[in-house]
Amino acid sequence: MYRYDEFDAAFVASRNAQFANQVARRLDGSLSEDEFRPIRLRNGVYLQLHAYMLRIAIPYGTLSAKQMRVLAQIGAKYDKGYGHFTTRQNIQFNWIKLIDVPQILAELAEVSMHCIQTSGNCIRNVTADHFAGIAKDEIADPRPIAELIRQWSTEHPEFLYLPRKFKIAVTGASADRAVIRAHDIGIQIIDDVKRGIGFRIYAGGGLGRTPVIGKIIKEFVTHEKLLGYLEAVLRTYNSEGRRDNKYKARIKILVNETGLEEFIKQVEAEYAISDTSSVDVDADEIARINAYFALPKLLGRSETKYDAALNDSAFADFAKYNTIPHKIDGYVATTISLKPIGGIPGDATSTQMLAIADLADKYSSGEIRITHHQNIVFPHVAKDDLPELCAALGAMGLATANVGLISDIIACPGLDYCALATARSIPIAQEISKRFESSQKQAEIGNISINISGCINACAHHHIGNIGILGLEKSGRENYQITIGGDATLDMALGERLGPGIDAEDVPDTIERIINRYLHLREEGEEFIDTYRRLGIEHFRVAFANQGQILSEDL
Amino acid sequence: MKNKIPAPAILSAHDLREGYVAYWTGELWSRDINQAKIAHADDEIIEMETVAASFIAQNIIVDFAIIPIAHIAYKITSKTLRESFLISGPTIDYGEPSIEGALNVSI
Ligand code: SF4
Repeated sequence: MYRYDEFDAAFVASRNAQFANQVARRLDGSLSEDEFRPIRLRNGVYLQLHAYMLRIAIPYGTLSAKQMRVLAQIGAKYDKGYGHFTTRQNIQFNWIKLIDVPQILAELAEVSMHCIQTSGNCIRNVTADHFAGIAKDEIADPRPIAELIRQWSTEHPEFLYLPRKFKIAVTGASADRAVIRAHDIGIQIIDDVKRGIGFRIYAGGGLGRTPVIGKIIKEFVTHEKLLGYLEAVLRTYNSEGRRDNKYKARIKILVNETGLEEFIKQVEAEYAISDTSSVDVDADEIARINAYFALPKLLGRSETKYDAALNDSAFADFAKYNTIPHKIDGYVATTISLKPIGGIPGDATSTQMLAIADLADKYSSGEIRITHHQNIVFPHVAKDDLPELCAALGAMGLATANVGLISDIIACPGLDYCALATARSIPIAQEISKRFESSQKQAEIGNISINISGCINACAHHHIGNIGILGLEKSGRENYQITIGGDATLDMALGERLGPGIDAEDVPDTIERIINRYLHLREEGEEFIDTYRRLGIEHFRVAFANQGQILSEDL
Repeated sequence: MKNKIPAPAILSAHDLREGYVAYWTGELWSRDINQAKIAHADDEIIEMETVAASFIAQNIIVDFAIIPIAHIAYKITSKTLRESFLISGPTIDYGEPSIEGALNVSI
């Protein structure tokens, strides 16, 4: 894992001291709220519906056990005993007091963590595939590149006041698990026959009120020139992006309004006149960063205990749904679902975080990942340790075998916490999850994603959920729009709306009817998205029309 | 200052230091909604806004809101959806805080 160097540590310490001073000046009135707001936001402090919320960066979703322990402590000491993992691989605490923030930042700094650039119109936390460095379909580990971008973008003087926030994601595998096409810039590591390993660049993706799928703007960039090229994109956006209307300020609007070809031309023109020498990356620097991400020493292990445990159906389910093969034989990456039936998607209590830290030390070389699905990954688990790990997780309520299944729902905080929300998300997720509680039923339905956002900002990526649910307010009541057919992979697609909005109480029934319809229509080997693609939305509208009935006559 | 919120209404804000929601009782700020002073007329609402502005200037509160309420029999209920959740707090039951062992971790 990457360790902060002296520069990082000194920078974070000085920034914390500066922010502590700014908090003190806000409290004594030297700074007004208007002056303080942009400052606190740039340090991850929001004022939400009920309290201040602190967003802590987890660069490319990688955490050490030690860092997780500190997060557990922050939840216990300064919050109400839990934290919320987000769809951008960060963690948020919902009940933080402003007066405590300087001390919290000091405790985070002890383990090389901070909240810088988790908000504001700057380059945000860089995200990456949560199976980076492990997955068998990987061309190269995306984390060294994400780290390079983190170093380059942190306090980059030119890009601290962009027209709007700017999000970058990197994937290094053939399957995109980092939703790169829904980002302002998506970077895909590719292996070109002639040129070797390099990067394909997507730009102009983003969800929110105007969902747009990112498009390729550059087929191939070398390691050496990556940052120089990104600077050209950012400079073009910084100078041409709109600042007159925040709803039209994201790069996706610029790309659309300019036209893809013209935008590419502008970036290339900018790149051509840029002196990139100060950001060109030489092979030594790449090798230096790569070394931090080398696999831990994983010893060869027998699989006897693992094989024997497969006779237990609960363990077999856990092994089937919550693990993927590791690059090293005899090991798996294990996903800890933060979606227990009826639970709050993405939430973990301080006790659970502490247990996760201890178990990571014991079973995963002290390494933890956070997924954009709001789950947790132990990247390096020996298969023979899996039965013991599964039992230990089970004792903490963390062994739900549902990864990728219908109860593995992505949901934002919604109107239970968020100041921008127009409806609740969490209770809707809880009800749907309870409706599909049966593990047999979940297995029968198979792979499917449900994403629930509490407003048009789409933090839960509802547009690209196979089933998307958007909570709005209509005539003083919560009202939910349902879309189907969204896809978060490299073949990204935006879901289509099934019909008019419905009341909260009708959502679980409607979802059940959609699922029944799918089970009736699907052909051998199809998943939900395949059936939808084969037949189109019209075949599902009947499920939406017959509100109040969940009967086989719908089929 | 022009009042656009219809009476009856209450004044809420966030406590600057802690951030928690508080209600104006007519004399001080309370976390208890049932202590909230109810403005029954437009001029009382305008007066509440003046109170809020003064506490903002003193750096005691931040981000105030005048919340129209539905009725005042035994319980104060917001007429607007968002503020009804502001008053109720999260609708999720977390049970007892689970913090065992986490108050003082050794790193
Ligand atoms: S989607 Fe809306 S409600 Fe949900 S977290 Fe984002 S801004 Fe808040």
